[in-house]
Amino acid sequence: MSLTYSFADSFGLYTTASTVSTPTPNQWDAIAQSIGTTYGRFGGVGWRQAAGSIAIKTLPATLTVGGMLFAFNPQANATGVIAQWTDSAGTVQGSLARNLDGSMSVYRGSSSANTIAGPTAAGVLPINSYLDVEWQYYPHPTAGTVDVWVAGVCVISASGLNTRGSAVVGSACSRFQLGDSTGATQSYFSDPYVYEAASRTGASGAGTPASCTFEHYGPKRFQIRTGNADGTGNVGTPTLVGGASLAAVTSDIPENGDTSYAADGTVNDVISLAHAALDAGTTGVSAIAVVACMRKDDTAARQVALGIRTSSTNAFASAVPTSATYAYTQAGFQVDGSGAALTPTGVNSTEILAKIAA
Amino acid sequence: MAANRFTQLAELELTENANAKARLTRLAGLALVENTAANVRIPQLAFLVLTDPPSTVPPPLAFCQVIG
Repeated sequence: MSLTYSFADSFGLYTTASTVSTPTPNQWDAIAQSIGTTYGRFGGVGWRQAAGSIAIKTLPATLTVGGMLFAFNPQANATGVIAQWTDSAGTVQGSLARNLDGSMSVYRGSSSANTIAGPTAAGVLPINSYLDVEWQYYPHPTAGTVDVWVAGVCVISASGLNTRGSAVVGSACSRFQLGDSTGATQSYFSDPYVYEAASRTGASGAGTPASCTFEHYGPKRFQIRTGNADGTGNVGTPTLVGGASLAAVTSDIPENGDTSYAADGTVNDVISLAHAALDAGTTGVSAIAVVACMRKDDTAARQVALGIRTSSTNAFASAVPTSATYAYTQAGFQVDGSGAALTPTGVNSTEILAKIAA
Repeated sequence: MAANRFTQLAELELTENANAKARLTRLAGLALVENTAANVRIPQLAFLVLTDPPSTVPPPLAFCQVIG
């Protein structure tokens, strides 16, 4: 697998039927607040893009070949951009658009006048139907590539293109955006996942795009798990505020700030949580993102490392600083805590970790 | 962690008695004050697990849908 985690979200951490927390800062740079329980797949939580509303995320590292995967459900037939890659300055590299007839096109930059791939056949993205959309984009003045899959079927595959909407050399894909900043189309989004595709690997096959087999994820979904019991890797004794167990105070959806939380200030203390098993019928796991909402309550430079624990072996991501106000942070893992491939059974026994690193 | 929870010891308070009969009239009790600051607070810690399959009921793939 040469597809490398960059960013994950499912919107389900931010809302119940009655409350929506703000998934900023850090989780998103900006997002129009239309997260709700009726917008997601399978009756779950999703994000509704209304007229002109967008969700923007600056990625933790620049991607040479950007890959994004999300579930998309257009609510009306209209022509509009549904996703974009931009450089670090916000200049659009490329746009993925849905056309009036349900076909799809890719633009260099943000204008349909610079269509570089597509349109596909009509009806690829029908209204009122959630489908997985995956888009890999290599911004380059002469050797750029574009690959798009819908529900795991390649609908666009093109190479040798000028795909660079920004003249900034090496700017690649630093930020991505969902939604259309100019159009009026209302659409639903769920489960965005962003990755580094590195390069096209695998055979393109004959008769592309229909038989395109470059490495990609295909249809996926996020399952959210918070703690339901103490794990085996706890170190130290955190203070529990607003609840009787570590799991109870750290499983707030949405996060409730200072109402209930676990507090710890001792370096190398570890919070470890077990969680409920994945849904029955889960046949594979591609990645785990550990997501935490947290803040510090003094002026010290406090840091937290998020991690996972499998078979009594901990694996931590790099420590990140905490701020004085609540903010999200996340860390991605593509193998389990002991370095083995992720499996549903293995994830079921993998614990959620947060270590006070400084 | 437990040792860190109590970090503030109240100062001894010496108060001069105005009538000079007893110079020390109040000795403040030792106060152990629980330190509620100096922590990282975490109200939400979760897994987002990217899994197969996307659904137990696959959505229709309507490549042949007629728009009109």
